[in-house]
Amino acid sequence: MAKILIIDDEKPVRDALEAIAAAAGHQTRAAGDGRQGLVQFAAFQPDLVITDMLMPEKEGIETIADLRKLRPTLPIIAISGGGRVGNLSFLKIAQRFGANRTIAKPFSAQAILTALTELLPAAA
Amino acid sequence: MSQDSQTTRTPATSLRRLRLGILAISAAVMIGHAANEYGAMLEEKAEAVDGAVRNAETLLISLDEHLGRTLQAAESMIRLGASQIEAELHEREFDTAAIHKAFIDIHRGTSQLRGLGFIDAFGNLSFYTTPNPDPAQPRINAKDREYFTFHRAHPSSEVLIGRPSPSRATGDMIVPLTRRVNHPDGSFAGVVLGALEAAYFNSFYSRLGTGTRALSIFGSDAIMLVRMPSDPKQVGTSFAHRPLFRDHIGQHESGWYRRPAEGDESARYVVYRRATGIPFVLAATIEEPTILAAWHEKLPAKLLTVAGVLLALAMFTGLLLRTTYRQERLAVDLQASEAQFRDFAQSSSDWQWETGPDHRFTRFVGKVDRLDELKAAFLGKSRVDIADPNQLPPGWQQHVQDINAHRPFRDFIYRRVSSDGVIRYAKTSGTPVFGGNGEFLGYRGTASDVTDVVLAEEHASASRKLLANAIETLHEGFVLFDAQDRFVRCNSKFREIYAESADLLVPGTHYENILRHAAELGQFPESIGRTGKWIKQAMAYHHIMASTRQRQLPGGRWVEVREVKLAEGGSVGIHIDITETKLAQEQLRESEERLRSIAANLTQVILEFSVDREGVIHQTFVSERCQDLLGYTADEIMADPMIFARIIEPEFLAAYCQTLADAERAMAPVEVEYRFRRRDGEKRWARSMLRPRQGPDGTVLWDGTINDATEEKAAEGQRRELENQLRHLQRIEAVGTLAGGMAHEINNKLVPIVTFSELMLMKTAEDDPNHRPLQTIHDAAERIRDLVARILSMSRSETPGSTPIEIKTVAANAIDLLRATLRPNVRLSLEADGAGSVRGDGAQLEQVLVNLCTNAAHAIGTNQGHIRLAVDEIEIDEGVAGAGHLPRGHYARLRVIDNGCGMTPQTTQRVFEPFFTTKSVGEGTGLGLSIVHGIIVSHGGRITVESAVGEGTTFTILLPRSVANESSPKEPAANDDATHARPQTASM
Repeated sequence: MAKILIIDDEKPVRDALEAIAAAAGHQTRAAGDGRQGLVQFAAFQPDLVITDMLMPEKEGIETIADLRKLRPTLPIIAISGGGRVGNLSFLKIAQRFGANRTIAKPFSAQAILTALTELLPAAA
Repeated sequence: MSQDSQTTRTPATSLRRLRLGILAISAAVMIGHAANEYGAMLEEKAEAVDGAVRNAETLLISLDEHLGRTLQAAESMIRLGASQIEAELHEREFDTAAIHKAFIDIHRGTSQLRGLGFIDAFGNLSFYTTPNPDPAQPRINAKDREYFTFHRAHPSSEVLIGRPSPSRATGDMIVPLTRRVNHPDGSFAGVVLGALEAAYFNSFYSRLGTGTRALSIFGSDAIMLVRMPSDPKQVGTSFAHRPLFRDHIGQHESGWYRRPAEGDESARYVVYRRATGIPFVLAATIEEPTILAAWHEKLPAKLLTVAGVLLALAMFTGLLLRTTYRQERLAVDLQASEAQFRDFAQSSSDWQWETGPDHRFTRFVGKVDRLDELKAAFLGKSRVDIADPNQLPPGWQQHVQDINAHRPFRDFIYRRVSSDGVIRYAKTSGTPVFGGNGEFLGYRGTASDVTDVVLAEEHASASRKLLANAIETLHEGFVLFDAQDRFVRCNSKFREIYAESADLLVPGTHYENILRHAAELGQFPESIGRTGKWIKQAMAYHHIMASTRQRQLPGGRWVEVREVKLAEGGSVGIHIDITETKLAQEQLRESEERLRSIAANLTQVILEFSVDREGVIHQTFVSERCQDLLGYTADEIMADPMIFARIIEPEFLAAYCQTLADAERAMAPVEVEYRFRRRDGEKRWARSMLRPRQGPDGTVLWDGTINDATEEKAAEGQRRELENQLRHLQRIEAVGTLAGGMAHEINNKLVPIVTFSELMLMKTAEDDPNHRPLQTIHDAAERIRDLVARILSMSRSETPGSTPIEIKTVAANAIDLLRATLRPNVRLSLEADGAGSVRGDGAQLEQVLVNLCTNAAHAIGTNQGHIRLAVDEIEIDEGVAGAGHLPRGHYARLRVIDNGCGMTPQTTQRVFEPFFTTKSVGEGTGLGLSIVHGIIVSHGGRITVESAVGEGTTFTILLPRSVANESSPKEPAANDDATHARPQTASM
């Protein structure tokens, strides 16, 4: 049982992720963008964060960087729908900035469950 | 003076008589001497003839004797022969062989007879001692011979000397000597024949040494028997009508006569004699020159002697005469000079005059009709008195001085006004007369009225002056030569042109001399080294009716010489200094040459032509460059007005003509492009800029250029291709960008579909009615995800890995992957030929090959087919067809070649576009080849396709080859290449 914060600007994606996490018995909280995500992070104190890369208000990269500052050991899963800047893939950037896993959209529920299992401490 | 002439007559007459006497005596002596000598010479001549004739007569007498003896000997042999036969006839048997032998014995003893034989009673020659030279000849018969008939008729046994005739056996002249042979009863048994050979006499007479004499023997019937030296033409002919027989033998037994010269034959003496007792006539002929040779030899000495004597006599006479002549001449000369003077005075002058010591006229004599007027006007007056001080004639002062100094004067012309008021001129000459003591007595002289002459001369002089002035005003050099090519006159311009020859320009100088002098001075550069020939040429020009030529002078000057022959003979030459014109021509020529040279160096062809009112084209100039561009020389083009109509390709010709016609109407320059055939058949593009302008009389003049537009056209084509490529890439890029954006959206939307369906499936048992629909939703979502993933991979622009990859390995891997999937009806082969390695992403390249081969397999379908994967290496140079815009260098080439159904050109063109597919819905997304294209472009390479429906398709991939041991991709050169080769990639 762990607390998982989900940050994505698309509600269907948030819902899907919450459903998957819930199916695995985790407690979830969702935020629509990076800024809200950080607020929720402070309030919710999640064990793991799943964040989209391309969002309004606050970008995924920036969000990851801030989360890392707040808690350097926080497991972060970055998800992306394939957007890119120039020649760079968001997911690769995310990895560079400290995301523990990068998963491309659309993902299977199994892929997310596997990542969660791997990243969350067994005790939790 | 006339009263002295009478006194000289008497001495001249008496002297003449004396002289006649001397001449008469001298002539008589000379004639006498000459006649005497002439007589002596004739006498000597007659003696020479007499001697010769006497010698000949002596010779004939001895011949007569010899002939008689010869006949006698012959007769005796014949008689002997005849008696032998008659004796044999008494015998019972007539032994012909024995007789023949006996005859041979008889004949052997003689040389006079040619042969001895027997003719039987029938006229047949029974035998003959000398064998017949021609055994084939038929037996000789003598029945018709005169002697045979005679002997048969007459029983006489005398020897008969027959008529000379040609032998029946040999044809030689023989005299037959015959005797009758009787049988014992006295009847005719035959004839013994001895042939006296004419040639015998020849040999005999030649021994006598007849020298220049000719000897002949004639029969009594005038037939010539023998002649020495021999003359076959005359021997055997009759001389009956010749003078010898006609005039002489008849009258005299012997004698001589002179036969005058006939034609080529000289005169000769003929001595003749009738032989004694035998019927022959002997004659000797001696040529007169032979007889008189000695006489002729002595003749010149004789004549010389006579001439010497006569000359001496003549000289003596001459001396005598000379003295008399001298005396006479003095007298006669005096007489003649008086007469001469009188005649001259009268014929050369109109009147004679005399003046006294005070120069006043004292006498006028003459035949002029104005004598009375002269006398009235001048007698008692001096010349000074008469002279009009206002109209003193030229030379008057000198004349007065001469008179006062008592010097003679000649042809002084003075002017006077006659009583009828007419101006008259008289020409007068005078000689001073001095008395015995040397005192001056006055002048005697003659005068003539020369008014007409003076007036004519004045007129002529005025004309000459006018002409001279006219000639002088000419700007051209003028020269006149007479009919004998002698200089007459020239003007100062001529002298100026030929200043060096001015000394020779005096009347009378021959033209040739003037030329030679100037040529020798080197005045005519073209004559140097060939003066003789040059002068000959110049004279030839001078002699033709009219000629114009140019002549070079030193200092680079040129003269045009025009010569015209005058009808009266002579010629006029006009010499024009054309140096300036020549210089201008030269400059013009140089300028044209320069223009031509410039035109030849331009890459364009410069041309100029005109079209006359009839539409005929005249090419007037084409620069040499035309040979490079058109393959025709300038001369060929100028010679062929229709050449452009022939070489311009038919589909361009109408437009070309139309353009020119429009330009002509508007009189505006035009530019026209067309394709033409070079002479070598190569088709090229040309662009002509042509400018019309109005020429005289309706002609239109054109000038302009022709440019070779072939390369430009080719470049244009290339540019168009590049533009197409760019457009193509842009379209692919735009689609890619769009796809990228859409992919993001779709991916987001797919997340709930995939995950919820997945979660729900987890909770739903397989036999649950919802399980299957959920599975379908999930699979469809997965399909969409794959599709989007592909779109993204197409628009992904990550730089492929830059590790060197062995192309052969890539190909082999692809083949391995394919073998499992391909149907057995498709054969797959790899033809690898060391393509080396390229930098890039091996997996991507594998995917490319797999993709292409899969497409190929689809194209083959269920038919039997073959896919060849060919790998090799090529070097791309600039301009390699199909290489497009790739930079130069070494490339790995991968080709996927199938023999499948192929594609239409429309399909081929769009094959790399995203979402373009020929497959049915669900079979393919249409993204495969666009992804392939993207991968190749991102590797800095290029992919092209060639296809033909029903034959198959070939995809060709070119990838820049990396140097085998190169590990760092950051070399500057490689970088350069990358930036060049991948502009499109960056923008995707």
